[in-house]
Amino acid sequence: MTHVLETDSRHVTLARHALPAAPMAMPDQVLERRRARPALFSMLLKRFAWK
Amino acid sequence: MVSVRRVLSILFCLLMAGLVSSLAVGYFSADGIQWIDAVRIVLLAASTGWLAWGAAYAFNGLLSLPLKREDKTFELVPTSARTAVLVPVYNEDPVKTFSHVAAMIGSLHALGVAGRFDFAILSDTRDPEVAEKEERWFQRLQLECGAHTDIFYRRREQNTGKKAGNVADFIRTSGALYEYMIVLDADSLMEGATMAEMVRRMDDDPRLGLLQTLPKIVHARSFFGRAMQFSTGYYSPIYTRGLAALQGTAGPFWGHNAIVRTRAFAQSCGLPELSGRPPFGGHILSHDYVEAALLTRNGWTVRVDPDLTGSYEEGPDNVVDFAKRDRRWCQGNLQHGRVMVAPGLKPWSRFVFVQNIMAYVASPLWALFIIASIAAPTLKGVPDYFPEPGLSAVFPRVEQGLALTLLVGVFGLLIGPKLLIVARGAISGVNETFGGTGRALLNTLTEILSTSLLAPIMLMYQCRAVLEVFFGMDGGWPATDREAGSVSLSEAWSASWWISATGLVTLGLAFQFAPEYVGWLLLVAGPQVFAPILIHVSSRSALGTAEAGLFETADDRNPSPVVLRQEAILAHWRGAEASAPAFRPVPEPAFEAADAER
Repeated sequence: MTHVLETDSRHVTLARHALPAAPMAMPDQVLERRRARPALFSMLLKRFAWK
Repeated sequence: MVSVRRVLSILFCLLMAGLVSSLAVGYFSADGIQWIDAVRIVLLAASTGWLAWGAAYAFNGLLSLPLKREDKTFELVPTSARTAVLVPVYNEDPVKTFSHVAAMIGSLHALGVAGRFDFAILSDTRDPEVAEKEERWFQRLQLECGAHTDIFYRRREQNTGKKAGNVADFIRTSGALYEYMIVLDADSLMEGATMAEMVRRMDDDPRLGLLQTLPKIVHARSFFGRAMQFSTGYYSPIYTRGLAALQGTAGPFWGHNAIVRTRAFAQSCGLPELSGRPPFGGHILSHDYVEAALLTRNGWTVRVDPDLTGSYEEGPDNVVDFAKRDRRWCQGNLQHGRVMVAPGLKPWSRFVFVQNIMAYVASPLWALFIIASIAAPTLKGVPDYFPEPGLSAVFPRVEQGLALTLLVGVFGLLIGPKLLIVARGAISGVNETFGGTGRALLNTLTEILSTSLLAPIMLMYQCRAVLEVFFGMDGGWPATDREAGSVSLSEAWSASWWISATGLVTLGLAFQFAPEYVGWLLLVAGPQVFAPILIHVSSRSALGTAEAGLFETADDRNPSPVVLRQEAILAHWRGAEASAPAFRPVPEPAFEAADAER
């Protein structure tokens, strides 16, 4: 290879080296168990709250 | 077989912890046993059990086959799979990083398989000057290597999720194009043949979600760095064989120098933010182990193959840089306490998280044991010399023999496996590549001595890191201005004066309250008192002594072609940088000589 690049020619666009578009879904995983107590508490609050 | 090995290994740890406890009961009860002795025995048993677990990995590795050294050559087979090689960067020197990329592309090109791999530089760099340099040097990389393979560059506006977020962003943008991704770090280097072999192994096993290699450290310059390089080159293959023997389908992921099946990773490893605030909430820092556990949860196999040679990385060259990195890892590993209860994980994955936490909690346990030992004589009060009135005085027995057995037992768990690795190396032929059994043994003893001196200092850094995380604090580190990785005495002092002070206070308290323990405590407090000197001296260049064979590794004698290639490119690029006006190409003969050797 005998590529030569002058330092002052560095403002070449990088757009043509951008990542190719081929999306793949990557859903967030469940890592934390739902806390039973607050859920139960909020359910009870809703059920017995003064209307 | 894996289950049997796991059960035997755990039984071995329990047995060692039990033996040490029974010895400790004999020693501590010489002047009567009290609650403080019970505390000491529990702390000692937990710490010994942890040391024994490390030894169990070594024993599993020592007993694994093949016994004889095998010089593997990887055969190239056709594949239709496309692989993306991901190089996440974050404010690193682009000249250095891109020289690694150029060397790997060159290595693949020499094999004629560069077209199967695309390289993606995934920049999270925040420093605008470094970013500008990245763009400039990317063009240099593109010009020199772009004819062989596709090379992409992108920089994120926000570095959300750090490295894990960076890789996830790539998958969400371009993942559908690639069957596999080889995930690297900015300092990673891999032989082209190794990368092609990893693809072949993934092709062979459709359930294999992730395949990890054992990266060896290269380019260490200091005494400390070369000791680590020797450790990863000489001991780690055995420890990794042990890990492989115990892993089953739930092997490790160390975050880099590994190949993943893109579909499996995308399906399993989307990491949410944990509820609550850092350090325990927020983004997951030590994401790699979590990703391995999630792949296993979804039925994918995660494996480390110790026979995959030709995989390299670089390591910190001094204790201060090592401790900085350790501080990050400590926070990430303690965060695993939140993740280990995630629904659906395999029991072994949960156990791995316990090990990750224990890797850092062990240091405070040892520190608490030392504190309890100094405090014990005071808390126990004055012994009763006349238990029966009228009879002669009964003096407490000092069981120095038991104490010595205890010390030998604990040190044996640390040192024993290393000496057995030397013995196995003599049988397997590995020692020949490390300068012969005599030199390997000498270097092992030197490494044990240097580790014994630096371990009490690392114990203090780890104790501080654990305390900081538990109190939600951010570590305040002194600014360093190092030349070639070395730490000046004044820098070492500002980074470790508090360790010296702790060592002096420990010895002072021991003289006052527990003089019988002073001799034993000198082993820990002595190196702590001299921490600044040890940090400074161990960071100095060891290249002169390396030529004499100190910490000689197989790669010193027979460097990997990709390492030689990278060194040649970097030297040339650095020369061009210093003497610009114009970039010049790297002369091809420099590589041909390297490739011809293999």
